[in-house]
Amino acid sequence: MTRAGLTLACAATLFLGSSTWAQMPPAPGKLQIKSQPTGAQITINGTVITQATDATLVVSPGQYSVSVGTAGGSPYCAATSVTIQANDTKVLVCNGKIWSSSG
Amino acid sequence: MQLQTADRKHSRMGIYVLVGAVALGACLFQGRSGSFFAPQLDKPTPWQQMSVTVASDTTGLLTTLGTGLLGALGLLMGGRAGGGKVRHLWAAFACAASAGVSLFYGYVVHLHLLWMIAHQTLDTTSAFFVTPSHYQFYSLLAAGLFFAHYAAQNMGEGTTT
Repeated sequence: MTRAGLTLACAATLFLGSSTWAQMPPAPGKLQIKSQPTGAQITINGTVITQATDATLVVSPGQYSVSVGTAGGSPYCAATSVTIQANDTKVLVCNGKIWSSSG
Repeated sequence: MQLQTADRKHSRMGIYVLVGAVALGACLFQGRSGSFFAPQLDKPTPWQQMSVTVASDTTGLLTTLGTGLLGALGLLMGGRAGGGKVRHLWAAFACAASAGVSLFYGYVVHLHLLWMIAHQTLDTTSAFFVTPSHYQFYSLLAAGLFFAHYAAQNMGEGTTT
């Protein structure tokens, strides 16, 4: 392995890696989670987020499991699956124990 | 003599294959930073501004260290010109490849930070941000270890043999 070869290999790794593969992630979607009454805990994919309802979240495209409130509490809506696409806005409303959605 | 030339050719091919594998690995792992979800911010709090500053400063520092390591490696290898047999070249290559991967993930971290700012959100503790940041740090650490090995083997050559 010559020094020139080594330099070329490293330059190729850096160039190809940075210019071809390191790209900005796809545009996110928005997920609005509301509840009646407000102030309920939001859990997404098993993680409790810091903000309570009503909240607007920025989410990368994909499928998420969303629940609002805690079991036995009010409101409490058990986990539901929602798919978000780029630049998409979905609204989930937890009315007591029943989900309604739009978007 | 022929055997030596064949060995050299094989090792050169092996190194090129390894470069491709490292680049491909970095590409595949880039997509595994996980999903991102965080509240949309009207205005960032001072704590969030501080976390952006710390994150970008750390990424910048690691990038500077990675670039410096590549420069030091180049100097060390250049200093061997005509100075006898170069030993443990694999360590020099592994150092350069690891430093390259570190610079690559530094750029990915930068892009993810820009992405969050552009979409008015921020969570520097999410896997989306932390995962490439870990790759940047640990690949730089590996590069440092390979560099230390290469330097120890080659700089001590003049005094020990």
